[in-house]
Order: sequence, then C-alpha cells, then structure tokens
Amino acid sequence: MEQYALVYKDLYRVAYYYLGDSHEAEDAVGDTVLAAYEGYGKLRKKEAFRAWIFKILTIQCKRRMQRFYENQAALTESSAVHEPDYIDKTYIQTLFQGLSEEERLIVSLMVFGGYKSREVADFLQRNHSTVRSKYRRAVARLKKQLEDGDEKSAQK
Amino acid sequence: MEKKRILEMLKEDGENLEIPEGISPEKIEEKLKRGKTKRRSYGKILVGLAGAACAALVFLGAYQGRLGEEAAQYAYIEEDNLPESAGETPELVLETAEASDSYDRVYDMLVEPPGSREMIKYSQKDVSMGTAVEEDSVSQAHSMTNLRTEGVDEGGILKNDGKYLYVMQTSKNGREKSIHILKAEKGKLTQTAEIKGLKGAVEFYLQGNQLLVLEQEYKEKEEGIYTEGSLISVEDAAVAAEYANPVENGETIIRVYDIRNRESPRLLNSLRQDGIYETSRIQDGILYTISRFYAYKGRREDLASYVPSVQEKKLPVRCIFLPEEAEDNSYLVITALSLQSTEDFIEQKAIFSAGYGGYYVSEKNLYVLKTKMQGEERETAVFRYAYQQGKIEENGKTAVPGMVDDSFSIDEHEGYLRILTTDWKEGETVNALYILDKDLKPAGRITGLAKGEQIYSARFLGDTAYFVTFRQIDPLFTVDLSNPRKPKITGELKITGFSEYLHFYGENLLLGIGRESDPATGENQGVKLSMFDISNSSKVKEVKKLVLKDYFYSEAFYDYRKVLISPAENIIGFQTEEDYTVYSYDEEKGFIEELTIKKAALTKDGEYQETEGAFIGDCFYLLKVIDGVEAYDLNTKKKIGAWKK
Repeated sequence: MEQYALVYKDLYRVAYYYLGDSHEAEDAVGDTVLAAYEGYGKLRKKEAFRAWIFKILTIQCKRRMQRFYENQAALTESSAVHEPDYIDKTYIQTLFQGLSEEERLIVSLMVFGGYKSREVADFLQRNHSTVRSKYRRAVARLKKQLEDGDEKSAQK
Repeated sequence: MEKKRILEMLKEDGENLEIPEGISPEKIEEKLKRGKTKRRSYGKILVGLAGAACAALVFLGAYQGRLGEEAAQYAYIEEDNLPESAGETPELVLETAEASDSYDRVYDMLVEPPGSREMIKYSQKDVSMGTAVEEDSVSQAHSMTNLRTEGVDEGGILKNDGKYLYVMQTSKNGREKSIHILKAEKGKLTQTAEIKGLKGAVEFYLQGNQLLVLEQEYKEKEEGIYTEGSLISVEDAAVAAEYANPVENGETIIRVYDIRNRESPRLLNSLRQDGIYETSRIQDGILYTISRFYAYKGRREDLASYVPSVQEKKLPVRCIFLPEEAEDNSYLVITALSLQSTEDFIEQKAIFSAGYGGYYVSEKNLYVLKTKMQGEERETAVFRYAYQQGKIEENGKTAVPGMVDDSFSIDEHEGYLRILTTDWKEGETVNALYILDKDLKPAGRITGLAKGEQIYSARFLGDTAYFVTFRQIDPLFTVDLSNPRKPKITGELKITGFSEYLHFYGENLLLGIGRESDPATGENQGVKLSMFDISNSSKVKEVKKLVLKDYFYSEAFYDYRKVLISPAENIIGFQTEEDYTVYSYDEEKGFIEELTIKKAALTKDGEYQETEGAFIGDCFYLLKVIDGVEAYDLNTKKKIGAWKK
C-alpha cells in the first residue's frame, strides 16, 4: 500500500486527462490497482513498481476507450461523437480533450506520469520518434489554442 | 507563451484535480481484503510477466488475455494442426555460407519498424535447474535453492552450504550491489569477505569453491538531435536531449570468483555476452547463460545493430538459428561456460526471433516456449535444444494449442514431453494435456478438461500428473500417464480455494500453497496451505489445511525459488505480503506456525525489499536484501543474531 499511496494521484490524473471522465478514470484506477496487487508478488524488482503500475493503467484505459467506441458504434447515429461532459472542466481540460486519443495518452503519461518519451514509446510499443513528434505537436497545438483563446478574451 | 508554461499550466491543473475518495489507499486496501477472486484471472496473467530479468521490460500486452471474461471468442486450434510441425527440425540456415554475406539473411528478416508490432511479452515464469553443491565437511542439515529440475542448479540471491551463507545486498537506491560471505555459527554471523561494486548483479551461483555472479549492464546509446517535422527549435533540442534515455540494449556479464579461501575471493575471469540477462542454469559443471539481444533495422553495414556479440566478437552466422519467418527482432543468446576452465565460453549460439513464453530446462534439454496470439488463436510453440556437455543443438520443435501456465506445467520424462495448457474455445477456457514422444510427435492427449476454468499449478511425479484448475472451487486432478498414448484421469478432488504452487512433501504428500475462497461467492478469503494425501492416486484427499485470513497473496505463488522448503527437515518458509512466515507440518496437528517475522519485506523507511529464508540445523536465517540477515532459533523462536552491512 505504501507504494500505491505514492502514485495513486498521478495514476488518476493520467486516467482523467486521457479518458476525460472522472467516473471512468476512477474505475480505471480501481481496476488497475486490484490487478496490480494480484500480480505484485511476481514483480521481481519492486522498485519498478511505478513503471509497472502505469503500464497496467495504460492498458486499462485503452480498454475502456475501446469499450467506449464500441458502445458508441452500437448506439444510434445521433450523438455518435465522443462528447465528454464539459461541466466542471477547466478551460485547459476542455482543450486537452480536443487532442487525439493517442496524444492525450502520450502527454498525460509524460506530464502527470513523469515519463520520458522513450519509456512512453516502450509502453505503447510505438516508435520513439513517433512518440516524440506526437508529443511535440500536441503541446504545440495546446499552446496555439491557449494563445488564440487569450487573444480572443483580450479583444473582448 | 512558452511551451514550458503550457506544461506548467497542465501540471497545475492536474494538481487541482479532485482525487476521488474511492481510490484512496485506505479504500483500496479494504477492497483488496474483500478481493473478489473473480478478478484473480488477471492476476495470474500479470504475474507471468514480471519475472523477466528486467522488470522495466515488462509489457502488459499479455493483459489482453483476461481469460474468458471478455467476449473474446478464441478459436481453438484444430487438433489436426497439431502434428503438422511436429518433429521438423527448424532450419539451421547457412551452415556453410560465408559469414560476411550471410548476415544479410538476418538483416532481411528483421521486422520493421522495430517495436511497432503488437507483441505479447509473456512472462518468464521461470523454468529451471538443480543445485549440485559439492559438500565439503558439512555436517548440518541446511537449505538449498528450491529448483525446478533436480540436478539442474539455478541462481539466487542467497546460497547456503551449511557453514557459510552467501548473500546479496542492494543499496537503497538499488544501484549498488554486493555479495557477502558470512560465517554462520548457531545464529552468530561473521562476515569473512565482501565482493563489492557489482552494480547490475541479478543473481549468483555457488559451486563448491567457485562463486559465479550474473550481472547485467545497460548500454546507453548516443542519439543525434532529432529533427522530425517543423517544430525543431533550441527548446525542442533541449527537450529531445532530456527525453533521450535510450536504454536500448545491454550486456550480460559473468564473473567467476575463486573462493577456496572464504576470506579473500579472487576474481578469475569476467565474460561478456550481448543482451539483457534472462536466465541461466548449471548442470554437470557447465553454466548456461541466456540473454536477450534486441536487434533493430538500421543500416545494413551496421552489423552491431542486428548481430549480437559474445566476448566482443560478432556471433558467426552459423551459430544463429533462424526461423522460417521472423515475428520479433530479439535474439536469445545462449552460451556455455565450463567451470573447469573459465577463460572462454565453450559454446555460443543465438536463436533469432525467439519470442516470449518462458523456459523449461530438463536434465537434457532446454525448451524455449513462444506464446503466439494471432487474432483469436493462441498456441504455444515449443523449441527444443539439447544442451549436453556444453553443446547446444537444435533438437526439434512443435506447437500445441493454448498457453502454458509456468514451467511446472511442462515436464520431460523418459523421452516423453508432457504439457498442460489452457486454451479458449467459444469464449470459454478449456484445458488439455498433451503427450509428445521423443520426436515431439503427438503420442496421447486429453482435451476438453475443466471448461471455464484454468490451470493454476501443476506437478509431475514420474507417471503421474497433478494439476489444479479453478473457477469457484478447486479440482485437483490426478492423471495416470503410465501409458503415454492413453493418459487417464484417475482422480478429481474438489475443495474450496486453489493452489498456486505444488510441492511434493515426503513420500505420499503433496503441499499446496494458494488461496482460499468462498465457494458460493468466489470471494478471496486469504492465503491457504493444503496438504494432500496422494498415496492412492484415485482417492487424493486434502488431509489438512490452514487459512491465513489476514493475507491475500504470497510470494510463493509467483516465484518458486523464493520458497524455502525441505520435507526432510520439515520446514516450509515463504513471504506473505510483507511478512515472512515459517511452518512445519504434523500429521495430527496439521500446519504449525514456527515463526512469523512481521514487516520483513519493508525497510525502516517503508521501502520494499526482497527477502529469502534459509536454515542451517535449528537456525533459521532471513535475508533482507537491503537490511542484512537476521538469525532465529527455531526451538526458542527467538532472534539470536543479526548481521548488517
């Protein structure tokens, strides 16, 4: 539990920014920790706990995302767009949800998970340079939108 | 606005995020204690994963394999497919070709782009070999590393010859490791020597008067400044540099020490092979070391990027086993080192695209398992390599449907190979036993076992197989294998809970360490010790059991080498959660708690540390990998000594 206590807030943040929904994020973290503790004994290097639990979280979140898309497909044509609940979201959170799914995951792992792009590439089984460029583009997009937003509010 | 500022804003935003109560450590702890065993099926798959020598490489793609829970409809591999590849020896390519040209064959096979393919890194639930410690004048009974195969030794972080304990210690940050030789006299521990500076030591062996350390070293690669896209700037270059942490590959180092004089170990030699350390065994005075080397497709001229080296020389192409088709870009590099003369390896081979699935080492053969999960199909490919007298030769391959739980589910006996698998059929798990003859051709099989359940543990004893499957209650199956062409289920004992680890305990007893569960709800009720009477294989009985309600898992479930067990001396020791417990067994009274060392696996600062138990005579020793060794008298249950670095 000591190790979990150190990471759970960051786990939640990654899940929240990626999934864009507090309930989904809470469930994802809950499932992750249960799964992790089942497998904990096998983790040979306990110091790798953090990296390991984040990997589990990543998979959990991706599965939830997948399920979300499946449900979407099953629904009627109306409301077939991922339209997360904007209530209670800060401006930056709303902008964040405008990033692509993968960008959200990469950026949140790097910002809240404290991971380096190399490690994120390992997690996602993606090419290192792809991850880096996606990261850079996503941050650049956020930056642009925030600046535009500032200009707009300045004009008012 | 600077990019850095964006990141700060994001971080700040994250800091202010309200964290739900439901995932607080307290709430989670409660949930874990209640732990529905329904969830357990992830765990079992997860657990396989972390055994890899480098936990950082643990990849949870395997997680997708939640058995049967999701609607996945896993096509059963038609049984007709089974014999197809059986017995065919994989092609050993280009035996006579000129080395310089023939690396092209490897290069052309490289999968690209590296790492982009969905790979399932299944666990190194290790498989194994036995201790043949040359006894000197040792008189006292003492513990040894718990091995998969008798006569085939395995490495560890604690070795014991009855006079001395050899223990590994790790610094708090995990970066510095050392091995200490401690004279152990009735609980009094005196260090006679220390081997320092073993940064990446993973485990070691004690072989008579030699100590062999297996160490790994990560290679950092220089990377040029990255210029993809139009966003490159000074700031970006700095970010790129910060994020460039490419631990791409590593080297495995074998250090051989002469410890005839226990006060002054002497380094005889260090040998190197490319690749991150996976596992090793010692048999008949020969150390076999397996490492994993990741190849990547750079330029064709850059041989170092895709050809592994041993002792800093490129492996000749004739030493590389190539598959028909590559599925991943990793090699298993296997060397043999004679302990008689340790100047150089006597054998070096590499298996390209060996995949992931674990190992099993019998007295004669090394089996490399490769789990394949393509689309809905799952199968386990089995590659067999004979390894006698230091020679490593291909010795057949085959494949069976389904996946193998761990090395105890695969067993070689009198030329036959027996494999227990769990497979998926129409969204439901189903288990099977396959028996293959000396050419790995199918001999006998039982399929369609225990639908909806999966195999949790297994043990083979000569002509009998015991295995445990589980969903709500635990059937312990007994199978008569005396006619390999007609295996027969002779017993099926149903009890609550299930065993994760099985160990023969004296002549007619089988010990199970696992979990107790409520048969009605499937709720996890704690760690359970079971003793089965197997004297009549058709009427196996659970004669005693003990449920430890306060615990929900034990290290014993995941790493057999961490179990201290000696039926002869009647002692069973293992770590459950953070505590270390020692039991004995009595026919009348059942399991008797001899010792419980609370919080053994935690340092003062609450950091986790590995533990392992050992005994010499009546003295029990507990190794804590950061905090030293403690000694306990098993008669008085009192702590009688300690040693700290």
